[in-house]
Order: sequence, then C-alpha cells, then structure tokens
Amino acid sequence: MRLLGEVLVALGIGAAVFVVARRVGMGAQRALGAVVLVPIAIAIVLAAPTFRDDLTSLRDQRREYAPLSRYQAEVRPGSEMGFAVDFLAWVKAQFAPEDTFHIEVGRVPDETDVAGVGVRQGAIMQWSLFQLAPHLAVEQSAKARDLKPGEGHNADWFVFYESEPTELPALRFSDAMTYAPGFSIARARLAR
Amino acid sequence: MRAELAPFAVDLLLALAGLGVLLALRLVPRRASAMAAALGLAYLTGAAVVPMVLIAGLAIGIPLTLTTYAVVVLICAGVGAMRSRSQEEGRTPAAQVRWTRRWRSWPAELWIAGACIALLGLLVAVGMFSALKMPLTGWDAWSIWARKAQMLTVHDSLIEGFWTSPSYSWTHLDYPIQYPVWEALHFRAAGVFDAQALLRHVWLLLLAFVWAAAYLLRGQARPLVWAPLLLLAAAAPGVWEQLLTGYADVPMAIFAGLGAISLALWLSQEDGRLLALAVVMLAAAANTKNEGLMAAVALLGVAGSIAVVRGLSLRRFAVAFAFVATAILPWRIWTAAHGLEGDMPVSKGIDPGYLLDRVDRVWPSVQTIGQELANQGRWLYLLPLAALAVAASLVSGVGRRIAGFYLASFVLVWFGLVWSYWISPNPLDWHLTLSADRVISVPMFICLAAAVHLFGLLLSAAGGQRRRMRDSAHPSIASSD
Repeated sequence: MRLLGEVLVALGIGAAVFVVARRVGMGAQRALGAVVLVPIAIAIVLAAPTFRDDLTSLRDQRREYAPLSRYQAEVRPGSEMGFAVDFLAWVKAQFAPEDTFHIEVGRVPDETDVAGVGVRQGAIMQWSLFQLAPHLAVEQSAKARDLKPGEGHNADWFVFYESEPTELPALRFSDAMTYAPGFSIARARLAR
Repeated sequence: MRAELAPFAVDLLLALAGLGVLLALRLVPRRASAMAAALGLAYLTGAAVVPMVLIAGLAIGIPLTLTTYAVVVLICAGVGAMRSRSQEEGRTPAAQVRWTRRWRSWPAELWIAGACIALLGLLVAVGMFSALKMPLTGWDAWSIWARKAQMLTVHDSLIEGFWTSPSYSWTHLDYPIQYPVWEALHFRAAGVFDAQALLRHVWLLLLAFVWAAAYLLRGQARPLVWAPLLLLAAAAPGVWEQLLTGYADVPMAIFAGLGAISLALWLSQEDGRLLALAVVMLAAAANTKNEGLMAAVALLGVAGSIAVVRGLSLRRFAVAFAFVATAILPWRIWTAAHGLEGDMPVSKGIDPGYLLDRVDRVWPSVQTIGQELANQGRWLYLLPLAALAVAASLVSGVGRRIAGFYLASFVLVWFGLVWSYWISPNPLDWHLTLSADRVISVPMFICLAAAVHLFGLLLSAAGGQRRRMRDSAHPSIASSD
C-alpha cells in the first residue's frame, strides 16, 4: 500500500538523520532536533514546485473568471453542464415575486437511471430549482419526474423543460408561453 | 460598493465577537498587542459561536437578520469586556517581542519564519484577488450550501416551503447549517445573493486557521517549526482548492483541527480554558457537517479515555462533553421535530447482521481513503511528517501523551469514515468517487496539528534547558502575549 510505503520512507529518513547526526558527533538531544528540522526542510523543498503551481493556477483562475458578468457567474455551473440557463432566466423573469412553480423535465432516450432516477433529469431539476430560487418549487417529487395526478396542484406555474404542455391534461393550466420548442411555461389554472 | 465591502464588515464583527468570547474565557489578556496576536483565533471563535447562537435562535423562531446578528456580536463582545475587567489588576507586562528588535540582530530562525509568513501572505493575497469574481461551481456548493444560504438570505426564518418541503429533500435538508448561516451573513451584508461574492471570504478562514494554530501552539513550537508546516498546509491544493469549491469540508476540518489542538493542549496542561476552547471548536465542527460530529465524538472519546487513564478532572470533561451536545441539539431537535431524516442508517450501523451483509464494502473504503491520504501532490507530505513526529515522540518519550492522543484520534476518525461508507445505502464506487478526496480533510488536519505540536515539543527537548519551552504554564494563554 502506497500510504504505508510513504510512512516507512518518512520513518526511515528520520532514523537515518538521527544516525548520521550521532555519527558526526551530535549529542542525542541535538540529533533529535535534526530529526525534526531536516524532514521539514525536505518537505518544503519538495513542495516548492507546488507552491509555484498554486500561484500560477490562481492567476489562471483570475483570468478565466474576471470577464464574467454577475449573470454569467451565477449560471456558470448550469451552462458548463449544458443546461438551458437562458430559458430558466427567461422563466424567472415571468414570475411575480412570490410565485411558485412545478417543473417537468423530459427524458432523453439514452437517460441513465440510478436508483430509479434519471441522472440527467435529476441534474437538470436540481439546477433549475437553484437558478429559479428564491421562487419555490412545490410538490416536486424527487424520485419521479413525471407529473402525477395532483402533483404541482398548488403551483402558480408549470415549467416544461424538454417536455411539452400537451403531455398534460389541458384543464390543469392556461396561458402557455413557449420560449423555444420543448421549453415553455404555463400558468396553473388554480394559481393565486 | 456595499456589496463589495459590507461582507468584510461581517468578518470584522465575527472577529470582535470571537475576541469577546476569548476574553470571557480568559484565553487572551486585555492588551492591544495580545488581542491583535489572537485575531485569527478570534475570527474563528466568532465564526463558530455566532452562527451557533443564530441557529439556536432560528430553531425557536428568532429571525435571522443583520440586527439579530449585531445583537449576538454585541453580547459576545460585551460579556468579554466585562469579564476581562477583573484581569487588569493582575496582568503581567508585555514580553519583548523578538521582531521589535533591530532586523540586523534577528536570528536565522526568525528570517526563515518571516520568509514562510511572507509566502503565506502572498498566497492568501493572490488567492483573495483571484477569487474576487470566482463563481460557485462545485456541485454541492450551489446545490446544498449556497442554496440554503440563499434561502436564509431571502427569508428570515426556516420557511416550510423549503426547509421541510419534500420537493427539496434531495438537497439534504437535515445537514447542519453552520456554513450556510456564515454564508448568509455575508450575502445579507452585501444586500444580495451573489455567487461571485463569497469565495474571497473563504481565504479568511484559511488565514485565520494558520494564524490561530500558530497562536495556540506558539508556547509549544518555535517559529522554525510552525511557520514552514503551516505554510505547507495552506499551500496544499487539498486545502485551498477544496475551500474554493465552496464545499463545507475544509471549514469543518478547520474547526475540528483547532479543537484537536485545544484538546491536546488541555491534556498536557490541564487548563480548563483550553477545554472550553475545544468545546467551541468541536461544537462548530459538528454544526458544520455530520462528519464534523463524528470527528468531535472521536476526539472527545480519545481525550476522555486519556483523561481517565491520567486521572484528569472528569467532572470538567463531562461538562465539556455536555456543552458540545447542547450546542448541537437545537438543529437536531428542529430537524427531528419536522420529520427530516438523513440518508445514513446510523441505527443500523451497530447491527452486526447489517454490517456483515455489507462487509465487502470495508476493504475498498480503506483502500480508497488510503490512496487519498497518500496523495502527496494534494497534501504536501503532512501525513508522513506527522507519522515521523508521532513515532519520534513515542520513541523518545517527549510529548508521548499528546502523540498518543493524535494517533488514536487519527485512527478513530479513519475508522469512522470507513464505517460511514460501510453503512451507507449509496452505491460504494459512486460514493467513494464523489467524496473520498474531501472527507479526509479532518484526518489531514489532525496530522497537521500533530506535526506542528510534536515537532515543536521535540525541538524544544533537543534545545535542552536553555531553549526549553515553558510548558509548565501555557505561555500563550492570558499571562503573556
């Protein structure tokens, strides 16, 4: 095991330093001091390139993020994952301050399921709920993305992400607004 | 302008509150130079105590606002000011600080320590500058921690629509909220939830930790020991890169690390004030992440066992244990009262049948954690150095009790991590891939504490009587600066 090897090397260095220190005439106590200082010095020397890399990495990060606007920074994780962040921003702009929503995320044909949940669907839902905050999602089942009877009943809006309002009974909502094919919102019939 | 500067005022007030707590505990004398020297510890003490009080308030319906925050800060500072008054009569004069001498007369040790501190300052300055516009990109950072912080920024209370809503169950609503409260205070001060405005402040946590560790251990370790080792810790990508993900693991490990140092100092000096500081730090760790609770239990368990063997005051220790438990109760009671449960089947974790059925998860967990601990590119040799320090202490007899404490704590925390993977309902490969590189933060901070503390004692012993540290009475606490 690598960890055990590294520990043994450290102990070996300590023992070697002690022996050498004694051989060159140091007393036991001073040799103990060498056992402390020499390994620390070795570690500092070995770590020096990392320190340089740290500074380079931080400088590069600065260059990467400095041009970002506040909006670009806020949606960065979602856009990096390829989610429709501009659609969600448009959705948010339609909401009144206290409005709630229920989101329907469609399944892609090659969706991967883990414990009964589509990985991509789940990721989209989690991101959407973050980007649409502080608006609250209601009756959003974490396990099944499909709208169950009654689910989202108390929401002010339905959000359709890669899904179509036509998949739901038309009686549930009104005033559907389409952002792009597969991306739309609809006002719930029972909304406040 | 407010969005840029006001969050730093939050940090300043946290330091003020923490200073009050330290004064009240009489860990710091009321002298300007001593209080300045303790600012790092003060900041972390404030970052520990103030959110804990606010969480307790939230649990009983007291709103989280900047006003309540200011009231808590004022109470902490006021209590500290009053308690420290009685210290003034018997206070000792400030000691001659070595770097107030002419620089030409500085010994080589001071130059080396100064170089390390300068490099550390450079790292933090560059880090803070680079984080000025850095967004929160880590998954858990936005999905768990900042999401909760946003809710605590927009709403004054734990609103049902979020905190108890099944719609958000996947965001681990049961997780402790010390870190989101700390984040929310900054967002509230800025007047807006801004994903770019947070990460510059996490550098203050790291700077404060290094400062606090040096302050606490300066009576045990010379600058020649603590300065390079703490520089290694700060420069370790496993520390600063993680901090910049916006995850809570390193903030939790920072509290746990200071708790470990305080407990080790208490074990060697039997100073109740250090035990009180350990209580504050371990309670904060437990209130930051569930792994922090596990670390707190492990550290207290080891310290308690040593206290029993060495005949230390068990009454004090029992009181300390009770304080830690009390500090974490408000959030636990609130979550239990609202039916929020974690996904870890803790009660099954002591069921032999359940454990036997899943015993095949043990070795992969041990291996993966071992691989992560052995990643010196991320952790800069802290573990091998700690191993050497512990071995040298055990063999030489210098600081043997402390070495035993750190070693047993490290082993117990490692076992706790393996146990959590053992009983976890999540697929093991997936779970290990997502978390093993993060959860080892606490063991690595224990290694750091062990290396600084024990190497310090060993070097003192090596220096003989002339240089021997004055460890009969802790010189870094109250009586001097």
